[in-house]
Amino acid sequence: MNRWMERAGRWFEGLLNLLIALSLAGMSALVFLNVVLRYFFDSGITWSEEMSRFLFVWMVFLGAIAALKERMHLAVDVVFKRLSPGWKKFFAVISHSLVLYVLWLVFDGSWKMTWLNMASKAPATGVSLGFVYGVGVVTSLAMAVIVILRLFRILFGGSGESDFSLSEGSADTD
Amino acid sequence: GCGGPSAGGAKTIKVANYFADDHPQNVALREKFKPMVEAKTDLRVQIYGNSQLGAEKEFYDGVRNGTIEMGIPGMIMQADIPKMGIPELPFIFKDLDHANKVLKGPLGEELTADLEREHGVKALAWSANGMRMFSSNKPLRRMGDFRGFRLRMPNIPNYIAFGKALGANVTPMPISEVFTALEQGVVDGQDNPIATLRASGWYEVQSYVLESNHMFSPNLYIINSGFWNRLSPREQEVIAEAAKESAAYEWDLLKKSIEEDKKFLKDQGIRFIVPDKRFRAAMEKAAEPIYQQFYREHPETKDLIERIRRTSP
Amino acid sequence: MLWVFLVALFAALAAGVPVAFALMLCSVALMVSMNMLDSQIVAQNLINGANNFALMAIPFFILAGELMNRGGMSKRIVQFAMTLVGHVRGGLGYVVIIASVLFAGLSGSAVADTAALGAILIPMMVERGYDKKVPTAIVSSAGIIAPIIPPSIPMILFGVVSGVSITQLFMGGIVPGLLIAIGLMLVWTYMSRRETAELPPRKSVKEILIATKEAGWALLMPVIIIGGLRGGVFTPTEAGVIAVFYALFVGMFVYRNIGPRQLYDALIRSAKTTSVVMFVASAAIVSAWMITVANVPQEMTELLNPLIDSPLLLLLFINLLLLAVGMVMDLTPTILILTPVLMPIVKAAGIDPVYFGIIMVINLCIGLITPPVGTVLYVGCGISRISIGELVKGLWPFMLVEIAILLLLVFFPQIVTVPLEWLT
Ligand code: NA
Ligand code: NA
Repeated sequence: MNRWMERAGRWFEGLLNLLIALSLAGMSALVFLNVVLRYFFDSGITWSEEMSRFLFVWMVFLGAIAALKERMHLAVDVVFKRLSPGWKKFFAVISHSLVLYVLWLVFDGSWKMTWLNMASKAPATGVSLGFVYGVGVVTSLAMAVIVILRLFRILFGGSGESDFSLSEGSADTD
Repeated sequence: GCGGPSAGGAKTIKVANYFADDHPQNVALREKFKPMVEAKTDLRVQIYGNSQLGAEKEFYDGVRNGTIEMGIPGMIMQADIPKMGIPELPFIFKDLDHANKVLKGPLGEELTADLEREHGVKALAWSANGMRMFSSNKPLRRMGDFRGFRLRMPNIPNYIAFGKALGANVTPMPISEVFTALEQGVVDGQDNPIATLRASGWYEVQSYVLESNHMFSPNLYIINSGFWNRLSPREQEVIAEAAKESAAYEWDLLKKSIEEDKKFLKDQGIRFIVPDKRFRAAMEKAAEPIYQQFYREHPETKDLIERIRRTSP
Repeated sequence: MLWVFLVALFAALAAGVPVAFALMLCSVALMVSMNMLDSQIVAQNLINGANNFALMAIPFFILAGELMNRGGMSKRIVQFAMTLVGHVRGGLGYVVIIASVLFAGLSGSAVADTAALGAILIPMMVERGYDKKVPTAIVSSAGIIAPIIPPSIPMILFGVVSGVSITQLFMGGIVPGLLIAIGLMLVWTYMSRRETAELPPRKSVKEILIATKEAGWALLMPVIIIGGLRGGVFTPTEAGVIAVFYALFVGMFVYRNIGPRQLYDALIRSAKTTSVVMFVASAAIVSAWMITVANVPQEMTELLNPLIDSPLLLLLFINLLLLAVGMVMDLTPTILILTPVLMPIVKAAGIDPVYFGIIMVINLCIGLITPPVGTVLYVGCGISRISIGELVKGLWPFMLVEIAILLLLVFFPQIVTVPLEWLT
């Protein structure tokens, strides 16, 4: 069971990596091509702005799933890291539950927005706007799976303290 | 201090739009719609201009799903309901009065007939953003001047098709980036009513306005259907009336403000160019294929379009 | 409503909830207290928060920085600075500051700058006999110049949230960034006045020319970005993508350090870093929406109303507030949370929004090196394996001079606004 899950996790990570890399490469190429076309050929691709934005949205949220898995999301741990192990466990359960609640809202809201926009087409690309809001459904589900598995480990597994925090806030973003 | 919109448990109507606070749309909302509704009902009205509740698409969706009660969008819904693109076809209206006459009458109701069924929002009144004109950093005096002209337009197929038909190099771009793009020379010009040119400060980085009046930009007072249906008949009556009066007042304000805006822009050094007969005819001719294309894609609209064009101004 | 928002935010943060989720939670708290809870408000604003062309400049500048680093540009910049000032007393300290300024023209993040230069320069200085905390302090305090001189990720975020021109923010950061560099050099001159270590000989003109040529590709980059923005060749987002392709070209064909594998890794890393920033930024759009609906900015304006007639007092007060917040919060979330709350009062007091944005970014950049919470501080400690307390002992003179320069800019806005007028 554990080995199978580990393998699924690795496969999932590889897929996420591939998708976010392709999205970033795609949006870079589109925006660059448009600058080149404008300055050297006095023309442009009208759908470039829109398409690159959609790739960006997908890249951001798929990358956010990967970042959650790797505990990269920004957090303020001044208080948390000074707590005793017992309190840490207590707050870990609370914070994981709060995050799950937010993910439920994101799921429910994106689901409704996706259906509301299914028939709406983006003006330049003709892509259904359900495709844009659909990213919220995918993200909230994937994140919920990660958080639920961690919550189980905190409650029932013989996990160490390192599993308690949702993130170490270690991404070099500032 | 909890002086927020929910105080006292009274129902609050949030009205979202993308106009600056001193634009006729917001003046009319403040001076007519809000006082009328608040005087005659227990409802409260809170106006959010300046895209505070999101860009046009966002607050339109907000009114659709009921998180915002009312909004004054443009014709953003035309992507789903092609009929709503009709009032924005190039040169369909001769001027503001023509547009006002058509939209206030039965043709205006015919245009919005599918809105409630398709999107769950109810149309209350037509108002006006204005007649669109080109602003530019070099003079546009004849068709040839559009060649190689980098024109910013909103990302709407009919607009882009028209810009291309004129011969311009159309760059679709969100409105939030227009100032920087004009300032930097990433684009040479844009098209909007001159009230927008003034309110957004773009005139600081533009030199000419071509009085092309090539398109009419309408706005629509809309309200979420679910919210509407939960109101009492009395409340519905008051809101419908207030919307009509507010829209009519806005139309007057806008007409008056055009001359004022023009004077202001001239004082700021903007030079206005009135297209001569030949230029105007050439632009109208360039728009004809847009109509043919529109008829091909939405044959059911042809009859309505022709009836609008036949209405005398 | 202001208190509902703040209490919910800090309670969630203290419980260990990541900032993005905490922002959504405090929006939920506002919705509940206004009896308008609706999941669509969360989802719609969250997703549309990322659906923004201007914000695409962030992944582009991060990717460009990543490619340059992997392409070997940081090494060449350090070499170049070495040939210029390596031979004077305390030369390596100046090398750090000069290299940081040059690197700031390529990178929009203080953490990236500190990590890249620290990895090269700290071991070099330790080898020359400096105590670890000295080079770490210089690298960290000079690292915060990166987001002040363009490109700058925090300025992009500020511009998008406040609607202020990103190009103008970029241009306005140049002079303050250089001023900070000069301030740091003065402190270092004083600190290294008694140094007696043997110095390497002055480099010959020929050696300087060779190093310049080697670093030329890196030095050209800020020229392209700043020149392109000023000359109206492209928007900030497009400048970012030009930087990407330029760095890719140099890394692949000139320095030949980047192959498909390195490119793929750089893409993944940049995308993830972007996601971390953007996830907070998108969540901040949710809370900004609720803040607006709940009239929180008006409450803030009323609270600060006594100061509105004196822009100077207001600015001083806001700066004190930001320095305090910057001690415990990091740059990105603070900009995203406080900009929509502060902007209305700043405008009402007649303070130039571009100038305010620059001041806010500089202030919060200093927060990156103030204890107890500071990402740049952590990176410095991580590289040198010293404690925060030890680093702060070496750091405080530099930090104080940076705060002094910030105050100088508050009292004399002309230092920012006059060159800005000339640059745009
Ligand atoms: Na920089
Ligand atoms: Na700090």
